[in-house]
Amino acid sequence: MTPLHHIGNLVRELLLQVPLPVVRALFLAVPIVLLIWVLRLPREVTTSPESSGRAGQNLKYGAALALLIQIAIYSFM
Amino acid sequence: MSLVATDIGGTDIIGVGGAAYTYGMAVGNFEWIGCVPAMIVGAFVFIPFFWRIDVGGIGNLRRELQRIEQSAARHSAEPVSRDGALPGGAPAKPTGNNAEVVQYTELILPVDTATPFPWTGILFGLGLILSLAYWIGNQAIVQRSLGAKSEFEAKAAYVWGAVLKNLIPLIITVPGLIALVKFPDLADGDRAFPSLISVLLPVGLRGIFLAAFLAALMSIVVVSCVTRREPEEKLRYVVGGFQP
Repeated sequence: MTPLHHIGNLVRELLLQVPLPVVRALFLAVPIVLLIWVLRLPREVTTSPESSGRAGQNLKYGAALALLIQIAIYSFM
Repeated sequence: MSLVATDIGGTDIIGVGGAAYTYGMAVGNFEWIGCVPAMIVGAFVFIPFFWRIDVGGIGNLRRELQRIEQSAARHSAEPVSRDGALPGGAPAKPTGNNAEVVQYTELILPVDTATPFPWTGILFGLGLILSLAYWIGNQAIVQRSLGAKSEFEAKAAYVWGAVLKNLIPLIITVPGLIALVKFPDLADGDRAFPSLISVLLPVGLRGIFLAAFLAALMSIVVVSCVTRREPEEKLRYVVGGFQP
């Protein structure tokens, strides 16, 4: 056993103490943080320069849909 | 669609289905948290960057970054950061073996799980490191978006690909779980999907599936030849022309 093994075991023991509901919150935090970031992106980043302004041409909605599905998946499974 | 089709191949249908048979639904993490967040970040942060510096591939990107570094080094005595360098590589694909399985329907497994998918590896290793390396630095993937007509379409490919990715486990993971119910005594998880095909599909459809599966395998072989061996530019175009 090298010192790295001891450090690894210590980290593993610490992570074993984290309750699974907290872990689920961590998993949910990833898409939630990304969703907030995507919704705050300026319009010129998420639309084409030739965009007519229709909602379907704004990538913000597609990205939000993908992330909302992720949130649903990690909330219920 | 092209991005997702590049990522998913014949080996995934057998391998991921087999892993789901052996370890349960947790293997779906590779398509969910292992893809979607990285694709969204890639769409809005990295794809515009690739387009602005007009790269033709990851090899060109590395050369471009080296050129920028050399240029910066000439103009400044300050050391130049290599933070922009993009490593290649793909998320480790699961392989089946006979580990003890406890929770077949759980996505988030404890640190001491009997499967190879503890939450620490999935969240920190797959979700925050490997998926970004794969979706932003893998030649076969990024090349698809660089072939788009415009920067917007490249970004749209990543975003709508991310939406589609949410459905992929239903195609490749769930059959493994169905096989678990129908054939609980298989010795090898990789036999799960073929067993389903041989029992559930009628003779004609079985042949069509086999043809489609072989086509998918050949596609993977060609992509591997084009992207891994780094042949001469001309040869690369010739070989790439045969790619379905």
